[in-house]
Amino acid sequence: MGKKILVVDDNEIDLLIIRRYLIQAGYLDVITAGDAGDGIQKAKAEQPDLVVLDTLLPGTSGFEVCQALRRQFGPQHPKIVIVTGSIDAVDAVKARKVGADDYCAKTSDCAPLLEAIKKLM
Amino acid sequence: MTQDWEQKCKGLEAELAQAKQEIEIGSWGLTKTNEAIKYLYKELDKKNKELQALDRLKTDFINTVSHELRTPLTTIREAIAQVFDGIHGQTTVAQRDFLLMCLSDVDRLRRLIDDLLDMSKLEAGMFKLARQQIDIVALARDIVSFFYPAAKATNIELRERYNATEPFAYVDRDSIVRIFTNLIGNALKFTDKGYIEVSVIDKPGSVECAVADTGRGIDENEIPRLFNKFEQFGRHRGTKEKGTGLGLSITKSIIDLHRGKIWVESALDKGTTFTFTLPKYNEQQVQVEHLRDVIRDAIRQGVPLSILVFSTGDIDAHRRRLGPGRAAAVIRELAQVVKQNLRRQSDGVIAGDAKFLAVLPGTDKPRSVNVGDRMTQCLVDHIAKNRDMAGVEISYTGVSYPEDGQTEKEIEEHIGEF
Repeated sequence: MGKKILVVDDNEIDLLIIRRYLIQAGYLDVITAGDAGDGIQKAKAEQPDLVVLDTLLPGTSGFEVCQALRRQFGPQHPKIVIVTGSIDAVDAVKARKVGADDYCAKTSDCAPLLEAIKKLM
Repeated sequence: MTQDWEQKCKGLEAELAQAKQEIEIGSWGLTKTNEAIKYLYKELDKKNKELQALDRLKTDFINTVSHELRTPLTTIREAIAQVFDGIHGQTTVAQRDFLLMCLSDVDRLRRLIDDLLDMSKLEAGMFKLARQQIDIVALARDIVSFFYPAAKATNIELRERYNATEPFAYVDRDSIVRIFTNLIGNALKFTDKGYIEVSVIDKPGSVECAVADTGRGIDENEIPRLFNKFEQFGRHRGTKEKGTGLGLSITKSIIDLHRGKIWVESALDKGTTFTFTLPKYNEQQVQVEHLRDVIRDAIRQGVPLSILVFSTGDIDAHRRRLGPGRAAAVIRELAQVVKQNLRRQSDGVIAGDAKFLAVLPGTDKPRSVNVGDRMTQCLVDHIAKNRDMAGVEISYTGVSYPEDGQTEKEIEEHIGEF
Protein backbone atom coordinates (compact mmCIF):
# COMPACT_ATOMS: atom_id res chain seq x y z
CA MET A 1 0.00 0.00 0.00
CA GLY A 2 2.85 2.36 0.83
CA LYS A 3 0.53 4.86 2.40
CA LYS A 4 1.23 6.61 5.69
CA ILE A 5 -1.55 6.89 8.27
CA LEU A 6 -1.54 9.06 11.41
CA VAL A 7 -3.90 8.12 14.23
CA VAL A 8 -4.70 10.66 16.95
CA ASP A 9 -6.50 9.28 20.04
CA ASP A 10 -5.92 9.86 23.77
CA ASN A 11 -7.05 6.34 24.72
CA GLU A 12 -3.98 4.09 24.63
CA ILE A 13 -5.95 0.90 24.20
CA ASP A 14 -7.96 2.30 21.28
CA LEU A 15 -4.71 3.45 19.67
CA LEU A 16 -3.24 -0.04 19.98
CA ILE A 17 -6.36 -1.65 18.56
CA ILE A 18 -6.64 0.69 15.58
CA ARG A 19 -2.92 0.37 14.88
CA ARG A 20 -3.13 -3.43 14.93
CA TYR A 21 -6.09 -3.55 12.55
CA LEU A 22 -4.47 -1.06 10.17
CA ILE A 23 -1.26 -3.07 10.01
CA GLN A 24 -3.22 -6.30 9.56
CA ALA A 25 -5.07 -4.66 6.67
CA GLY A 26 -1.76 -3.90 4.99
CA TYR A 27 -1.18 -0.28 6.01
CA LEU A 28 2.24 -0.87 7.49
CA ASP A 29 3.25 2.73 8.03
CA VAL A 30 1.20 3.82 11.07
CA ILE A 31 2.13 6.76 13.31
CA THR A 32 0.26 7.54 16.51
CA ALA A 33 -0.27 10.62 18.68
CA GLY A 34 -1.96 10.96 22.07
CA ASP A 35 -3.20 14.54 21.92
CA ALA A 36 -3.97 17.43 19.56
CA GLY A 37 -0.62 19.17 19.82
CA ASP A 38 1.37 15.99 19.23
CA GLY A 39 -1.00 15.09 16.39
CA ILE A 40 -0.57 18.36 14.51
CA GLN A 41 3.19 18.30 15.04
CA LYS A 42 3.47 14.76 13.69
CA ALA A 43 1.22 15.65 10.75
CA LYS A 44 3.61 18.44 9.81
CA ALA A 45 6.71 16.32 10.32
CA GLU A 46 5.53 13.03 8.75
CA GLN A 47 3.17 14.28 6.02
CA PRO A 48 0.72 11.33 6.28
CA ASP A 49 -1.66 10.43 3.46
CA LEU A 50 -4.56 9.97 5.87
CA VAL A 51 -5.30 11.09 9.41
CA VAL A 52 -7.68 9.32 11.79
CA LEU A 53 -9.00 11.63 14.53
CA ASP A 54 -10.93 10.66 17.65
CA THR A 55 -13.72 13.14 18.45
CA LEU A 56 -12.70 13.46 22.09
CA LEU A 57 -9.19 14.75 22.73
CA PRO A 58 -7.80 16.34 25.89
CA GLY A 59 -8.69 20.03 25.99
CA THR A 60 -10.09 20.06 22.48
CA SER A 61 -11.93 17.94 19.92
CA GLY A 62 -11.24 16.01 16.75
CA PHE A 63 -13.26 18.65 14.90
CA GLU A 64 -10.93 21.45 15.95
CA VAL A 65 -7.87 19.41 15.01
CA CYS A 66 -9.47 18.71 11.64
CA GLN A 67 -10.03 22.42 11.10
CA ALA A 68 -6.39 23.14 12.05
CA LEU A 69 -5.14 20.46 9.66
CA ARG A 70 -7.29 21.83 6.83
CA ARG A 71 -6.00 25.33 7.51
CA GLN A 72 -2.45 23.96 7.40
CA PHE A 73 -2.70 21.58 4.46
CA GLY A 74 -5.70 22.59 2.38
CA PRO A 75 -8.95 20.77 1.54
CA GLN A 76 -7.67 17.79 -0.46
CA HIS A 77 -4.76 16.23 1.33
CA PRO A 78 -4.30 14.52 3.74
CA LYS A 79 -7.60 12.61 3.85
CA ILE A 80 -9.20 12.94 7.25
CA VAL A 81 -11.54 10.45 8.95
CA ILE A 82 -13.14 11.34 12.27
CA VAL A 83 -14.05 8.39 14.52
CA THR A 84 -16.21 8.32 17.61
CA GLY A 85 -17.39 6.03 20.38
CA SER A 86 -20.77 7.77 20.37
CA ILE A 87 -22.24 8.10 16.92
CA ASP A 88 -24.35 11.24 16.39
CA ALA A 89 -26.02 12.72 13.29
CA VAL A 90 -25.24 16.28 14.44
CA ASP A 91 -21.56 15.38 14.79
CA ALA A 92 -21.61 13.81 11.35
CA VAL A 93 -22.73 17.11 9.83
CA LYS A 94 -20.11 18.93 11.90
CA ALA A 95 -17.42 16.57 10.60
CA ARG A 96 -18.36 17.35 7.00
CA LYS A 97 -18.41 21.06 7.71
CA VAL A 98 -14.92 21.15 9.22
CA GLY A 99 -13.59 19.42 6.14
CA ALA A 100 -13.38 15.76 7.18
CA ASP A 101 -13.74 13.21 4.40
CA ASP A 102 -15.68 10.71 6.48
CA TYR A 103 -17.10 10.03 9.92
CA CYS A 104 -17.63 6.61 11.46
CA ALA A 105 -18.14 4.67 14.66
CA LYS A 106 -15.40 3.01 16.70
CA THR A 107 -16.13 -0.68 16.82
CA SER A 108 -14.23 -3.57 18.33
CA ASP A 109 -13.15 -4.85 14.91
CA CYS A 110 -12.55 -1.45 13.25
CA ALA A 111 -14.51 -2.63 10.18
CA PRO A 112 -16.31 0.69 9.48
CA LEU A 113 -13.00 2.58 9.79
CA LEU A 114 -11.18 0.20 7.44
CA GLU A 115 -14.05 0.51 4.94
CA ALA A 116 -13.85 4.28 5.06
CA ILE A 117 -10.06 4.25 4.61
CA LYS A 118 -10.28 1.82 1.70
CA LYS A 119 -12.70 4.15 -0.08
CA LEU A 120 -10.43 7.15 0.40
CA MET A 121 -7.04 5.70 -0.52
CA MET B 1 -37.38 47.73 -11.37
CA THR B 2 -36.19 44.65 -13.24
CA GLN B 3 -32.73 45.12 -11.78
CA ASP B 4 -34.23 44.89 -8.30
CA TRP B 5 -36.04 41.73 -9.29
CA GLU B 6 -32.89 40.28 -10.81
CA GLN B 7 -31.00 41.03 -7.62
CA LYS B 8 -33.73 39.41 -5.57
CA CYS B 9 -33.77 36.35 -7.81
CA LYS B 10 -30.02 35.93 -7.64
CA GLY B 11 -30.20 36.30 -3.85
CA LEU B 12 -32.95 33.70 -3.62
CA GLU B 13 -31.10 31.36 -5.96
CA ALA B 14 -28.03 31.63 -3.76
CA GLU B 15 -30.13 30.98 -0.66
CA LEU B 16 -31.75 28.00 -2.33
CA ALA B 17 -28.39 26.56 -3.34
CA GLN B 18 -27.16 27.00 0.21
CA ALA B 19 -30.29 25.36 1.65
CA LYS B 20 -29.89 22.48 -0.77
CA GLN B 21 -26.33 22.00 0.34
CA GLU B 22 -27.33 22.08 4.00
CA ILE B 23 -29.96 19.44 3.33
CA GLU B 24 -27.48 17.33 1.40
CA ILE B 25 -24.96 17.50 4.24
CA GLY B 26 -27.66 16.82 6.83
CA SER B 27 -28.87 13.87 4.83
CA TRP B 28 -25.33 12.53 4.52
CA GLY B 29 -24.96 12.87 8.30
CA LEU B 30 -28.12 10.87 8.91
CA THR B 31 -27.10 8.16 6.48
CA LYS B 32 -23.72 7.83 8.19
CA THR B 33 -25.37 7.60 11.58
CA ASN B 34 -27.87 5.09 10.32
CA GLU B 35 -25.14 2.86 8.91
CA ALA B 36 -23.18 3.06 12.12
CA ILE B 37 -26.21 2.20 14.24
CA LYS B 38 -27.05 -0.81 12.10
CA TYR B 39 -23.48 -2.02 12.43
CA LEU B 40 -23.40 -1.52 16.18
CA TYR B 41 -26.71 -3.35 16.48
CA LYS B 42 -25.24 -6.34 14.69
CA GLU B 43 -22.21 -6.28 16.97
CA LEU B 44 -24.47 -6.15 20.02
CA ASP B 45 -26.43 -9.11 18.75
CA LYS B 46 -23.21 -11.07 18.26
CA LYS B 47 -21.99 -10.25 21.76
CA ASN B 48 -25.35 -11.28 23.18
CA LYS B 49 -25.12 -14.65 21.49
CA GLU B 50 -21.58 -15.10 22.83
CA LEU B 51 -22.79 -14.33 26.34
CA GLN B 52 -25.62 -16.81 26.04
CA ALA B 53 -23.19 -19.45 24.81
CA LEU B 54 -20.91 -18.76 27.77
CA ASP B 55 -23.84 -19.07 30.10
CA ARG B 56 -24.72 -22.45 28.65
CA LEU B 57 -21.06 -23.47 29.06
CA LYS B 58 -21.29 -22.48 32.70
CA THR B 59 -24.33 -24.67 33.26
CA ASP B 60 -22.77 -27.56 31.37
CA PHE B 61 -19.55 -27.15 33.33
CA ILE B 62 -21.28 -27.27 36.66
CA ASN B 63 -23.30 -30.34 35.67
CA THR B 64 -20.28 -32.11 34.18
CA VAL B 65 -18.05 -31.42 37.17
CA SER B 66 -20.82 -32.62 39.42
CA HIS B 67 -20.96 -35.96 37.67
CA GLU B 68 -17.25 -36.37 36.97
CA LEU B 69 -16.15 -35.67 40.53
CA ARG B 70 -18.84 -37.72 42.21
CA THR B 71 -18.48 -40.89 40.17
CA PRO B 72 -14.93 -41.85 41.22
CA LEU B 73 -15.76 -40.99 44.82
CA THR B 74 -18.67 -43.41 44.80
CA THR B 75 -16.38 -46.16 43.50
CA ILE B 76 -13.71 -45.41 46.08
CA ARG B 77 -16.20 -45.38 48.92
CA GLU B 78 -17.82 -48.60 47.87
CA ALA B 79 -14.50 -50.38 47.49
CA ILE B 80 -13.23 -49.29 50.90
CA ALA B 81 -16.56 -50.10 52.57
CA GLN B 82 -16.46 -53.63 51.17
CA VAL B 83 -12.94 -54.32 52.42
CA PHE B 84 -13.85 -52.77 55.76
CA ASP B 85 -16.89 -55.01 56.07
CA GLY B 86 -14.70 -58.07 55.63
CA ILE B 87 -16.27 -59.10 52.31
CA HIS B 88 -12.83 -59.65 50.79
CA GLY B 89 -11.22 -61.42 53.69
CA GLN B 90 -10.52 -60.77 57.32
CA THR B 91 -9.05 -57.49 58.35
CA THR B 92 -6.97 -56.57 61.35
CA VAL B 93 -8.02 -53.90 63.81
CA ALA B 94 -5.23 -51.64 62.60
CA GLN B 95 -6.37 -52.11 59.02
CA ARG B 96 -9.94 -51.26 59.89
CA ASP B 97 -8.78 -48.11 61.71
CA PHE B 98 -7.06 -46.91 58.58
CA LEU B 99 -9.95 -47.85 56.36
CA LEU B 100 -12.29 -45.90 58.64
CA MET B 101 -10.06 -42.87 58.25
CA CYS B 102 -10.35 -43.25 54.50
CA LEU B 103 -14.15 -43.55 54.65
CA SER B 104 -14.43 -40.50 56.83
CA ASP B 105 -12.38 -38.37 54.45
CA VAL B 106 -14.12 -39.67 51.36
CA ASP B 107 -17.39 -38.60 52.96
CA ARG B 108 -15.89 -35.25 53.77
CA LEU B 109 -14.73 -34.84 50.16
CA ARG B 110 -18.19 -35.73 48.94
CA ARG B 111 -19.78 -33.11 51.19
CA LEU B 112 -17.24 -30.53 50.04
CA ILE B 113 -18.04 -31.22 46.38
CA ASP B 114 -21.78 -31.02 47.06
CA ASP B 115 -21.37 -27.74 48.89
CA LEU B 116 -19.07 -26.26 46.23
CA LEU B 117 -21.50 -27.17 43.51
CA ASP B 118 -24.43 -25.71 45.41
CA MET B 119 -22.42 -22.54 46.01
CA SER B 120 -21.67 -22.32 42.27
CA LYS B 121 -25.31 -22.76 41.41
CA LEU B 122 -26.36 -20.13 43.92
CA GLU B 123 -23.84 -17.66 42.57
CA ALA B 124 -24.74 -18.37 38.96
CA GLY B 125 -28.37 -17.82 39.77
CA MET B 126 -29.08 -21.39 38.77
CA PHE B 127 -30.18 -22.69 42.14
CA LYS B 128 -33.76 -23.75 41.57
CA LEU B 129 -36.28 -23.38 44.35
CA ALA B 130 -39.33 -25.61 44.29
CA ARG B 131 -41.55 -23.63 46.62
CA GLN B 132 -44.78 -24.72 48.25
CA GLN B 133 -46.72 -23.90 51.38
CA ILE B 134 -44.94 -26.03 54.01
CA ASP B 135 -45.78 -26.56 57.68
CA ILE B 136 -42.53 -25.42 59.26
CA VAL B 137 -43.37 -26.81 62.69
CA ALA B 138 -43.91 -30.29 61.27
CA LEU B 139 -40.69 -29.99 59.29
CA ALA B 140 -38.69 -28.89 62.34
CA ARG B 141 -40.11 -31.76 64.42
CA ASP B 142 -38.97 -34.28 61.81
CA ILE B 143 -35.45 -32.94 61.72
CA VAL B 144 -35.06 -32.69 65.48
CA SER B 145 -36.15 -36.30 65.91
CA PHE B 146 -33.38 -37.31 63.52
CA PHE B 147 -30.82 -35.71 65.87
CA TYR B 148 -32.03 -37.42 69.08
CA PRO B 149 -29.52 -40.32 68.94
CA ALA B 150 -26.56 -37.99 68.39
CA ALA B 151 -27.68 -35.65 71.17
CA LYS B 152 -28.22 -38.53 73.56
CA ALA B 153 -24.73 -39.89 72.81
CA THR B 154 -23.15 -36.62 73.85
CA ASN B 155 -25.52 -35.95 76.77
CA ILE B 156 -26.97 -32.79 75.32
CA GLU B 157 -30.63 -32.02 75.90
CA LEU B 158 -32.71 -31.30 72.80
CA ARG B 159 -35.53 -28.86 73.47
CA GLU B 160 -38.33 -27.86 71.15
CA ARG B 161 -40.52 -24.77 71.40
CA TYR B 162 -43.27 -24.39 68.84
CA ASN B 163 -45.62 -21.46 69.15
CA ALA B 164 -47.23 -21.02 65.79
CA THR B 165 -50.93 -21.14 64.98
CA GLU B 166 -50.21 -20.51 61.31
CA PRO B 167 -46.94 -22.29 60.72
CA PHE B 168 -47.13 -22.37 56.92
CA ALA B 169 -44.50 -20.57 54.86
CA TYR B 170 -43.87 -20.57 51.11
CA VAL B 171 -40.52 -22.37 50.89
CA ASP B 172 -38.43 -24.99 49.15
CA ARG B 173 -38.68 -28.01 51.40
CA ASP B 174 -35.24 -29.51 50.79
CA SER B 175 -33.56 -26.16 51.36
CA ILE B 176 -35.19 -25.61 54.73
CA VAL B 177 -34.42 -29.17 55.80
CA ARG B 178 -30.83 -28.48 54.89
CA ILE B 179 -30.74 -25.23 56.86
CA PHE B 180 -32.14 -26.76 60.04
CA THR B 181 -29.81 -29.74 59.66
CA ASN B 182 -26.83 -27.45 59.19
CA LEU B 183 -27.64 -25.26 62.19
CA ILE B 184 -28.51 -28.09 64.56
CA GLY B 185 -25.45 -30.06 63.42
CA ASN B 186 -23.24 -27.03 64.11
CA ALA B 187 -24.85 -26.54 67.51
CA LEU B 188 -24.06 -30.15 68.42
CA LYS B 189 -20.49 -29.72 67.22
CA PHE B 190 -19.81 -26.70 69.37
CA THR B 191 -21.79 -27.57 72.51
CA ASP B 192 -20.17 -29.71 75.21
CA LYS B 193 -22.92 -29.56 77.80
CA GLY B 194 -26.33 -28.09 78.38
CA TYR B 195 -29.01 -27.98 75.71
CA ILE B 196 -29.94 -27.07 72.19
CA GLU B 197 -33.33 -25.47 71.64
CA VAL B 198 -35.10 -25.44 68.27
CA SER B 199 -38.02 -23.01 68.07
CA VAL B 200 -40.58 -21.96 65.49
CA ILE B 201 -42.81 -18.99 66.25
CA ASP B 202 -45.45 -16.97 64.48
CA LYS B 203 -44.74 -13.43 63.42
CA PRO B 204 -46.92 -11.16 61.31
CA GLY B 205 -46.08 -12.03 57.73
CA SER B 206 -43.35 -14.51 58.58
CA VAL B 207 -42.35 -17.60 60.50
CA GLU B 208 -39.37 -17.08 62.79
CA CYS B 209 -37.14 -20.10 63.43
CA ALA B 210 -34.22 -20.31 65.81
CA VAL B 211 -31.55 -22.77 66.92
CA ALA B 212 -30.07 -21.80 70.28
CA ASP B 213 -27.32 -23.59 72.17
CA THR B 214 -25.36 -23.31 75.40
CA GLY B 215 -22.10 -24.03 73.65
CA ARG B 216 -18.76 -22.33 73.22
CA GLY B 217 -20.11 -19.27 71.57
CA ILE B 218 -18.51 -17.14 68.89
CA ASP B 219 -16.05 -14.31 69.39
CA GLU B 220 -17.87 -11.05 68.58
CA ASN B 221 -15.01 -10.06 66.26
CA GLU B 222 -15.68 -13.09 64.14
CA ILE B 223 -19.45 -12.53 63.86
CA PRO B 224 -19.33 -10.15 60.86
CA ARG B 225 -17.41 -12.73 58.83
CA LEU B 226 -19.55 -15.64 59.88
CA PHE B 227 -21.50 -15.99 56.65
CA ASN B 228 -18.49 -15.63 54.37
CA LYS B 229 -17.31 -18.52 52.28
CA PHE B 230 -14.69 -20.91 53.62
CA GLU B 231 -14.51 -19.31 57.05
CA GLN B 232 -14.01 -21.91 59.75
CA PHE B 233 -13.98 -20.68 63.25
CA GLY B 234 -11.23 -21.44 65.74
CA ARG B 235 -11.84 -23.92 68.46
CA HIS B 236 -11.16 -27.05 66.50
CA ARG B 237 -10.48 -28.62 69.85
CA GLY B 238 -11.99 -32.03 69.35
CA THR B 239 -14.55 -31.24 66.70
CA LYS B 240 -15.99 -34.59 65.74
CA GLU B 241 -16.37 -33.78 62.08
CA LYS B 242 -14.64 -31.12 60.00
CA GLY B 243 -17.00 -28.85 58.14
CA THR B 244 -16.63 -27.51 54.61
CA GLY B 245 -16.64 -23.85 55.58
CA LEU B 246 -19.48 -23.26 53.14
CA GLY B 247 -22.47 -24.33 55.23
CA LEU B 248 -23.38 -20.91 56.63
CA SER B 249 -22.67 -19.14 53.36
CA ILE B 250 -25.00 -21.48 51.52
CA THR B 251 -27.58 -21.14 54.29
CA LYS B 252 -27.54 -17.37 54.00
CA SER B 253 -27.79 -17.47 50.20
CA ILE B 254 -30.78 -19.76 50.39
CA ILE B 255 -32.51 -17.53 52.96
CA ASP B 256 -31.83 -14.54 50.71
CA LEU B 257 -33.37 -16.38 47.76
CA HIS B 258 -36.47 -16.90 49.88
CA ARG B 259 -36.40 -13.17 50.74
CA GLY B 260 -36.01 -13.99 54.42
CA LYS B 261 -33.44 -12.82 56.97
CA ILE B 262 -30.87 -14.62 59.10
CA TRP B 263 -28.80 -13.32 62.00
CA VAL B 264 -26.80 -14.59 64.97
CA GLU B 265 -26.43 -13.62 68.61
CA SER B 266 -23.46 -15.02 70.47
CA ALA B 267 -20.59 -14.36 72.87
CA LEU B 268 -17.64 -16.51 73.89
CA ASP B 269 -18.71 -19.26 76.32
CA LYS B 270 -22.19 -17.78 76.45
CA GLY B 271 -23.83 -19.92 73.77
CA THR B 272 -25.10 -19.08 70.32
CA THR B 273 -28.50 -18.42 68.78
CA PHE B 274 -29.09 -18.45 65.03
CA THR B 275 -32.42 -16.95 64.00
CA PHE B 276 -33.94 -16.90 60.54
CA THR B 277 -37.26 -15.80 59.11
CA LEU B 278 -39.28 -17.30 56.29
CA PRO B 279 -41.96 -15.18 54.62
CA LYS B 280 -45.61 -16.21 54.74
CA TYR B 281 -47.63 -15.60 51.62
CA ASN B 282 -51.29 -15.80 50.84
CA GLU B 283 -52.32 -17.12 47.44
CA GLN B 284 -52.04 -13.80 45.68
CA GLN B 285 -48.67 -13.07 47.26
CA VAL B 286 -47.50 -16.50 46.14
CA GLN B 287 -48.33 -15.46 42.59
CA VAL B 288 -46.45 -12.19 43.00
CA GLU B 289 -43.46 -14.10 44.41
CA HIS B 290 -43.60 -16.46 41.48
CA LEU B 291 -43.64 -13.46 39.15
CA ARG B 292 -40.58 -12.04 40.87
CA ASP B 293 -38.80 -15.38 40.47
CA VAL B 294 -39.65 -15.44 36.76
CA ILE B 295 -38.26 -11.92 36.36
CA ARG B 296 -35.13 -12.80 38.31
CA ASP B 297 -34.52 -15.94 36.24
CA ALA B 298 -35.00 -14.11 32.94
CA ILE B 299 -32.45 -11.47 33.91
CA ARG B 300 -29.95 -13.97 35.28
CA GLN B 301 -30.18 -16.10 32.15
CA GLY B 302 -30.32 -13.16 29.75
CA VAL B 303 -33.51 -14.46 28.12
CA PRO B 304 -36.28 -12.07 27.00
CA LEU B 305 -39.42 -11.79 29.10
CA SER B 306 -42.60 -9.85 28.48
CA ILE B 307 -45.39 -9.02 30.87
CA LEU B 308 -48.69 -7.58 29.69
CA VAL B 309 -50.57 -5.53 32.26
CA PHE B 310 -54.28 -5.49 31.38
CA SER B 311 -56.57 -2.86 32.81
CA THR B 312 -60.35 -2.85 32.74
CA GLY B 313 -60.90 0.88 32.55
CA ASP B 314 -62.36 2.72 35.54
CA ILE B 315 -62.03 0.05 38.23
CA ASP B 316 -63.69 2.23 40.88
CA ALA B 317 -66.74 2.68 38.67
CA HIS B 318 -66.91 -1.08 38.14
CA ARG B 319 -66.68 -1.66 41.89
CA ARG B 320 -69.47 0.82 42.54
CA ARG B 321 -71.63 -0.72 39.86
CA LEU B 322 -71.04 -4.43 40.61
CA GLY B 323 -69.90 -4.37 44.21
CA PRO B 324 -66.28 -5.18 45.13
CA GLY B 325 -66.81 -8.95 45.28
CA ARG B 326 -68.23 -9.23 41.78
CA ALA B 327 -65.66 -6.77 40.44
CA ALA B 328 -62.82 -8.93 41.75
CA ALA B 329 -64.51 -12.02 40.26
CA VAL B 330 -64.74 -10.27 36.88
CA ILE B 331 -61.01 -9.63 36.94
CA ARG B 332 -60.34 -13.27 37.74
CA GLU B 333 -62.71 -14.36 34.99
CA LEU B 334 -61.02 -12.12 32.41
CA ALA B 335 -57.62 -13.41 33.53
CA GLN B 336 -58.91 -16.93 32.89
CA VAL B 337 -60.01 -15.95 29.38
CA VAL B 338 -56.46 -14.86 28.67
CA LYS B 339 -55.06 -18.04 30.22
CA GLN B 340 -57.20 -20.19 27.96
CA ASN B 341 -56.10 -18.32 24.86
CA LEU B 342 -52.36 -18.23 25.51
CA ARG B 343 -50.52 -20.72 23.38
CA ARG B 344 -47.36 -21.54 25.29
CA GLN B 345 -47.27 -23.86 28.29
CA SER B 346 -44.88 -21.56 30.09
CA ASP B 347 -47.21 -18.55 29.76
CA GLY B 348 -49.20 -17.70 32.87
CA VAL B 349 -51.68 -15.18 34.22
CA ILE B 350 -51.97 -13.43 37.55
CA ALA B 351 -55.20 -11.81 38.70
CA GLY B 352 -54.61 -8.76 40.88
CA ASP B 353 -56.97 -6.43 42.69
CA ALA B 354 -57.44 -3.91 39.92
CA LYS B 355 -55.63 -5.41 36.94
CA PHE B 356 -54.45 -8.74 35.62
CA LEU B 357 -51.18 -9.79 34.07
CA ALA B 358 -50.07 -12.15 31.36
CA VAL B 359 -46.54 -13.42 32.00
CA LEU B 360 -44.75 -14.54 28.85
CA PRO B 361 -41.27 -15.98 29.46
CA GLY B 362 -39.14 -16.19 26.35
CA THR B 363 -41.32 -13.73 24.44
CA ASP B 364 -39.68 -10.56 23.22
CA LYS B 365 -41.34 -7.15 23.03
CA PRO B 366 -42.47 -7.20 19.38
CA ARG B 367 -44.11 -10.59 19.72
CA SER B 368 -45.68 -9.59 23.02
CA VAL B 369 -47.52 -6.80 21.20
CA ASN B 370 -49.05 -9.40 18.86
CA VAL B 371 -50.09 -11.49 21.85
CA GLY B 372 -51.48 -8.41 23.61
CA ASP B 373 -53.60 -7.41 20.64
CA ARG B 374 -54.87 -10.95 20.18
CA MET B 375 -55.79 -11.24 23.88
CA THR B 376 -57.52 -7.87 23.77
CA GLN B 377 -59.73 -9.14 20.98
CA CYS B 378 -60.56 -12.34 22.92
CA LEU B 379 -61.44 -10.24 25.96
CA VAL B 380 -63.58 -7.82 23.98
CA ASP B 381 -65.47 -10.79 22.49
CA HIS B 382 -65.99 -12.26 25.96
CA ILE B 383 -67.20 -8.96 27.39
CA ALA B 384 -69.70 -8.59 24.54
CA LYS B 385 -71.33 -11.87 25.62
CA ASN B 386 -71.68 -10.84 29.27
CA ARG B 387 -74.12 -8.08 30.03
CA ASP B 388 -72.82 -7.29 33.50
CA MET B 389 -69.38 -6.64 32.00
CA ALA B 390 -70.70 -3.82 29.84
CA GLY B 391 -68.59 -0.75 30.48
CA VAL B 392 -65.40 -2.75 30.96
CA GLU B 393 -62.81 -1.34 28.59
CA ILE B 394 -59.73 -3.41 27.94
CA SER B 395 -56.33 -1.84 27.42
CA TYR B 396 -52.87 -3.11 28.15
CA THR B 397 -49.30 -1.96 28.57
CA GLY B 398 -46.33 -4.17 27.87
CA VAL B 399 -43.28 -4.41 30.10
CA SER B 400 -40.38 -6.30 28.59
CA TYR B 401 -36.90 -7.32 29.58
CA PRO B 402 -34.50 -6.04 28.37
CA GLU B 403 -36.20 -3.14 26.53
CA ASP B 404 -38.07 -1.60 29.48
CA GLY B 405 -35.66 -2.38 32.27
CA GLN B 406 -32.41 -4.15 32.99
CA THR B 407 -32.89 -4.91 36.67
CA GLU B 408 -35.60 -6.62 38.71
CA LYS B 409 -36.34 -3.29 40.37
CA GLU B 410 -36.85 -1.48 37.07
CA ILE B 411 -39.14 -4.16 35.68
CA GLU B 412 -41.19 -4.33 38.88
CA GLU B 413 -41.50 -0.53 38.92
CA HIS B 414 -42.78 -0.54 35.36
CA ILE B 415 -45.39 -3.12 36.22
CA GLY B 416 -46.45 -1.06 39.20
CA GLU B 417 -49.34 -1.89 41.46
CA PHE B 418 -52.00 -4.25 40.25
